Amino acid sequence: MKGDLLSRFIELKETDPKYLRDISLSFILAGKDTTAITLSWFLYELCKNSHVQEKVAQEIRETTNIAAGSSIDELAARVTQENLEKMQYLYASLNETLRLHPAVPVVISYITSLT
Amino acid sequence: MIWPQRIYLRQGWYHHGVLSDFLGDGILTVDGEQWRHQRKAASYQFSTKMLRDYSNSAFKSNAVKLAEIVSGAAISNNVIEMQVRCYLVQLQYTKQKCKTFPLYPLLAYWQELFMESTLDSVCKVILGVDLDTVRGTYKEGAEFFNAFDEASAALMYRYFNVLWRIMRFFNIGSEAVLRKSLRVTDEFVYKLIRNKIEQAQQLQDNLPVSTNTKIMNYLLFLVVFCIGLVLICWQPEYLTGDERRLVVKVYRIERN
Repeated sequence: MKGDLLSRFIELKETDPKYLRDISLSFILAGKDTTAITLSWFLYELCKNSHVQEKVAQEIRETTNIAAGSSIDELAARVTQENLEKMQYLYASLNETLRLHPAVPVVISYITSLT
Repeated sequence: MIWPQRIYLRQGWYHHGVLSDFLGDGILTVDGEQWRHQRKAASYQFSTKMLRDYSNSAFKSNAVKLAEIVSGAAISNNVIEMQVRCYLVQLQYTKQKCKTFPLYPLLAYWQELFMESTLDSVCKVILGVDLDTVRGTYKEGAEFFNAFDEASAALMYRYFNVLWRIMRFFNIGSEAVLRKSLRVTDEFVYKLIRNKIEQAQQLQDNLPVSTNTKIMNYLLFLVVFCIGLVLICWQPEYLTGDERRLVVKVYRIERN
């Protein structure tokens, strides 16, 4: 199925390879390291606070309604958009990780004029 | 104080100078019209509909791969690296006495895995290609991963190294590494783009536009146009007195 950003830009009649390269590399850089680092920090915080770890695991178990000893694929099938929206504690703990360890701590743009 | 109606933000020439070797005119370095163009297309890409239909499955399949690797490594213990870590895990386990498996000693290993996994997910969403760097089955994908990592590290180093322009000129140190990695990433991405454009053109050529659909489109347009015209022109408020009375009469007759 075609649903990637590059196809989208080509659909919009953008055919300059240099420009397409710039766009895709920018998005890859923006998406890759930030997500990986935040996830690592998330695990670090879970290890430090084992009661949070327990609560997150408990919430996932409850929302997906999964039995003990199930396989990864079974769990993945239960993780749907609706179930993800129900995992509020997980969402909150991810947000807290971002607050404690922001992946992008500075904004590089600056104000040039006010009207 | 009067709050300004519009605030003009710029990313500026400084960052463009530092980052443009790698990112060119990407969304992180440009301003104005180009930024708006990219932002608009990207916001469609990250809309709820696209996330549900396309991106979610990409993220999920990569997460499953990651989970399989970790659980497989945890069960088999055959890698020396994992054995050392499992020993540390046991130490931690006796110390902490928590119910779930403590993950702390695995973190360094995890960060590397996360880096690979997120690159896979992002490449699937942005480029539409499955790199599979987590498992390392696709050689070019693994090369791209290494080159990309080296390039972004060298790029960040530029912010702390004021002499980078001179180093670039002489092609030494981190700048030499950067140039080499850029060649790899560029080659990989350009090849993908060329394939995509060719595919899109072939698809366009093969798409038959029959006269039948043309006529249908024309008819559809006419119908919609007429309905629109009626809707716009038919405004009972602007009828003259007699006409309005007539309309009311007809309406009453129909109701009775």
